[in-house]
Amino acid sequence: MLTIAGHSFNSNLLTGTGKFASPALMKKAIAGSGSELVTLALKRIEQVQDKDMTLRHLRELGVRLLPNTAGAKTAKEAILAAQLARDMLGTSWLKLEIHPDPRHLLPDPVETLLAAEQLVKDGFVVLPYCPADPTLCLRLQEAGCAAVMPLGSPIGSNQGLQTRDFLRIIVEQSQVPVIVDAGIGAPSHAAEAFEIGADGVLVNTAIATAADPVAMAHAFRLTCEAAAYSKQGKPAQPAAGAQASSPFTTFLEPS
Amino acid sequence: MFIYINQHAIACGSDDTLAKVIRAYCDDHQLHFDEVAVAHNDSLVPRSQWAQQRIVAEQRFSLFSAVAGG
Repeated sequence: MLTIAGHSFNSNLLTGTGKFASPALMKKAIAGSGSELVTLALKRIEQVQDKDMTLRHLRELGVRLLPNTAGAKTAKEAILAAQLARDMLGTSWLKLEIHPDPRHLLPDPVETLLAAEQLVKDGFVVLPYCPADPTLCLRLQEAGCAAVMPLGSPIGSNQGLQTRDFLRIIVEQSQVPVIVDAGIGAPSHAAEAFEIGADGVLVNTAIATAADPVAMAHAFRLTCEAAAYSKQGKPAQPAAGAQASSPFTTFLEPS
Repeated sequence: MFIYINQHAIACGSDDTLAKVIRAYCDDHQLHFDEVAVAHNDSLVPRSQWAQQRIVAEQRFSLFSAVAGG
């Protein structure tokens, strides 16, 4: 169970719709993932193009839409993208992302905070993709963001949780859900995020570019479900040394 | 007269509303009228205003649609 801005989701797995070989494959994979909160992007229509079926498929799946502001390089651009998304899609939910550097795609912390402060005032439910900076995450929380989405490693890199030490601090401090976004390349990375204490993960590339995206989506689904059960079960604490699990010391002796 | 949508010159009548022009553009480009958003001078033009908004010659609008993304 993942609760964001008072809305409860059965799945703690968020998914993206980019990079799939076809919209039909995307739809099957998203359905197989069990994800209920799914990202999509906005694009200025440059020319006559093949009809993008992403939105139609997501409507059919009945998932909650999470439009992003990808392509925005400044707070001003991101705010316009947010307004366009709300007008187009009828949702105030927003994945705020501002990354001016096309090489590393790292989020701009200053512009992200500026945009978040304004968008919250304008009534958006803001989920900012951000650096794994504990101080920034606190500031985003104070600005009224509904969650924070620190990166595990660069977008699309599949490098896993390179920021794990900072993610631990973010989780420890956060009063809003922490969703690890970017860099999760395998179900084991998602498991590690949950063991650190994250409330959710957002996965796109790892599913979309797998040899079998539908199978990989299912693998992430099972991993995220297992993490939810593990959280409920509360793992036992590590001990300093061996602790016998069987009464073997009295096997040949009268009790 | 002409206006521009995403750099495309669009011929239209002086009494046309923005809603009429956008609908025609969507029909021509296999877009769904209900799934686009419009900006003018880097500001949103809310859908709720399209039906009332008269266009002016040489105006430039940007049209956006939803696409796949992460």
